[in-house]
Amino acid sequence: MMLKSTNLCTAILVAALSMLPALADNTTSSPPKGWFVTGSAPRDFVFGTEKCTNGKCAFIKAKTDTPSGFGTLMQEIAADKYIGKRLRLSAMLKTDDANHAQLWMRMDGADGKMLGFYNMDDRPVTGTTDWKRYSVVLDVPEGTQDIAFGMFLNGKGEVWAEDFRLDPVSKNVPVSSTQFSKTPVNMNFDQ
Amino acid sequence: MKLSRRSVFSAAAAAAISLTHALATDAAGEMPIKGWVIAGSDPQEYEIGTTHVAGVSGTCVFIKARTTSPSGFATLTQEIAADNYRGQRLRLSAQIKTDDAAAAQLWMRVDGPKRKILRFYNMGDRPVVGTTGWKRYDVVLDVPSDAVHVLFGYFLNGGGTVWSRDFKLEPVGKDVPVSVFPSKPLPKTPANMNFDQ
Repeated sequence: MMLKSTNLCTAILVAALSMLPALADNTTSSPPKGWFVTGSAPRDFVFGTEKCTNGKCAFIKAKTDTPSGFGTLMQEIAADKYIGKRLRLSAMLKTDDANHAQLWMRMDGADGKMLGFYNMDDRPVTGTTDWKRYSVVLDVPEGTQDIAFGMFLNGKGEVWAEDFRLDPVSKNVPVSSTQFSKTPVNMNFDQ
Repeated sequence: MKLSRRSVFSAAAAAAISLTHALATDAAGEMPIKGWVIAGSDPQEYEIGTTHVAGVSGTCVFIKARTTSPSGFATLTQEIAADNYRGQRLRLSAQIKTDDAAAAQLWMRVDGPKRKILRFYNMGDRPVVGTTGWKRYDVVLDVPSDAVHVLFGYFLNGGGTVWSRDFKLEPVGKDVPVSVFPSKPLPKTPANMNFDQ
């Protein structure tokens, strides 16, 4: 996948998500069973589960107002069952004073080649918001080996998530892609 | 190179070393050791230096945690041009001894153009743990034709002390097995999506 300079945030996140899973083992948090903790600064966040509206939910809470990066809860599964399908990741999210809370999904091919990626960079959940379902839709192309997905909090605040779903959907559901501005903005820095 | 949960231990070192390499030499406030660079995620949490250990000849280097639970790892590394080794199989080995170590590990990484990681292994699946006597450990990697740099060293990740001596970096025959992380199959389906487990 081409990573353009306009796509810098995405590139950094992708790099970090693929490079840093091991830091999980240095956190003091206990991720929910089946999930693991990673990110660029997982130690700046607390991860766990607590009772929410309809059972249990997972949370990511920044330890300070200025964490140095992001923390994510994620899973990685074999792509076999999903090859050729269009896959929707969705979850109910709720935030409290969040900088950026985002769902994300990535399709990995052989040799670490990235075949698909989307992380809501163009529509992060920010501030204080009530429960709402968000989704990320990607195709699973031939050659996909692993599917990685999860949610992250980038910066301050708290995010709760419940009822994650990973469902094949029909081809009339649009694939998620970051929507870039068609023209440059604020070139004079006066906004 | 694919870094995933399955190579979980590899990632910390690979990433942290490329991110913090610039801090280098005097990061820990210790005397530099000629030819070696101090790096890692939290080198300031460790004391690093040279010493002599009873019972063995020559100089040893040590990495010693300043507290019982340092927040990251410290490594002594070297980086060399790959020119002399392209197309060869390379073995890094050293004598290592530990005292109450959380995890002491040799590691080697082969970088291509633009710092692309071509090969990496760090004993993540077989760290030296606890209190152990002198023993030689090794890491074996191929150096592909597009390799630019070879980086290697050893690190301590967590509490304790590790001593090391007599590092060797030598080409070996293709009959010597390459070091690889064991790969665990991924689950076929998502798990615990409702967080009720």
